[in-house]
Amino acid sequence: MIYAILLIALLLTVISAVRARTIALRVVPAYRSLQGALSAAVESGRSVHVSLGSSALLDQSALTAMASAELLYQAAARTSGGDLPVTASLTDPVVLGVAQDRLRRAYALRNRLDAFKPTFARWYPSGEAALALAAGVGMALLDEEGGLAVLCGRFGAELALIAETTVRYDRDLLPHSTQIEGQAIAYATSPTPLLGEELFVSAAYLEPTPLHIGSAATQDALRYLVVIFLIAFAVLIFLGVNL
Amino acid sequence: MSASPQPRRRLRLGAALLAALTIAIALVTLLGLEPVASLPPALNQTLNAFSQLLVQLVAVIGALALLIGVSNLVRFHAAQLRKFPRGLYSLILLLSLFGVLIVRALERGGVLRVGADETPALSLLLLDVAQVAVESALTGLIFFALVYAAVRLMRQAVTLWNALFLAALVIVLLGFSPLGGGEALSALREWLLSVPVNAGTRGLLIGVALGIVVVGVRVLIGRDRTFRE
Repeated sequence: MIYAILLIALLLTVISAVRARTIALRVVPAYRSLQGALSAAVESGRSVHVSLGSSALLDQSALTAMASAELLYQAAARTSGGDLPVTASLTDPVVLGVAQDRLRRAYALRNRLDAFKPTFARWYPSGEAALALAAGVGMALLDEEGGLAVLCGRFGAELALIAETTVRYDRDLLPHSTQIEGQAIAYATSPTPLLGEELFVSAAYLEPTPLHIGSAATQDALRYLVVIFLIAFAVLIFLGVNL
Repeated sequence: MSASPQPRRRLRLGAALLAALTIAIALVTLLGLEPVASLPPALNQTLNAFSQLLVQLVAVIGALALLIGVSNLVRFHAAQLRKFPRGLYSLILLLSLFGVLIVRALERGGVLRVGADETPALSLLLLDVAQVAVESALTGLIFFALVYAAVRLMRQAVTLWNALFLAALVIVLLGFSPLGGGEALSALREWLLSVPVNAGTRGLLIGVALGIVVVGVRVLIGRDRTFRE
């Protein structure tokens, strides 16, 4: 089954990438708002903090961590030319290396490798809830004159603490979570949160190459396929067909 | 949104080798964890053993990475000590870290022993007091934080979805409360949790799974950023 899904996704990605110039992606308000917030942060001399939450490379959230690292790169590539550092926080020590790599690449893109420090990406230990991470994000926003906090990946209840800090100290917030608790808090604390799968297509909206546009189109196509299948199954069950 | 013209990239040998190695290992791991029925059983067993070995190796790397994480934590907070008064938080963090490490080392060495048995009672007690209690308190506060945030959203803009969100939260909160509402509110809360909330959770998880498939394909064909530039 998994091979069939991967094959369909691969075929759709290749076909969509070839036809990328004719594809118009749906509007995602969070990415439009993120572009504005990143520009505002650079213009006002504020720093940007991206938190990858408790996404980890050694469990089922591995690809969420990779997608969050991509968003970190996209945000850092736009703002690493500023005076204040672009920082990242996370709870998985393996993801720490990935985050440092993405930040280094972003600084290299701006020819500012001399300004890059490995401690721009910070590891915080976590238990059931990433409370230390929440405190660390708050500290980064206050100490380093953070103007924008991007939260992407796996967040639970701790997202409420970070959101509270951003509201209290008037910082911009772009929240997201792959967990239902975190996503509920994200929805309630921001007018333009990233929703569920929107995290995985960040590059299509922020660096639209044919492959990235193809990936986003594939994700949308797969979603419509799932919806059609679910409705078809529901109708068949309603009609009494034994599946 | 249209595709931007891309400058032609020079193929680097290191990046190409890394991509080839990653694709091969990813495919072998996938075949080992999800055997294909049409392949010979002996080959499936070999692939499974190899993929298990790879997973174990990764677990070892994860354990070693923890040391890198601790080193990163110490370096960052040691640098923060110069800032006053915020450096105090970093000082407390570093003292707690080294304090717990010392307690654990003394327990392991048999120097510090609380009670008759071999369990590390003091370090577990520290974990219970400092972490578990605070985490439990935070979980209990989620609903109140959500209601407060929803009210704030309503102040910015009164929309149908914001109003529904707030109403659902209040019903669930009152449904759990022993104060009033009785059976009807409790039943409504149960229905909310089992039908719309459950459906929403599944929708979110299916969406995330589709996103993971798409990113997985990009990694499998060696087009992730790790293999570029």
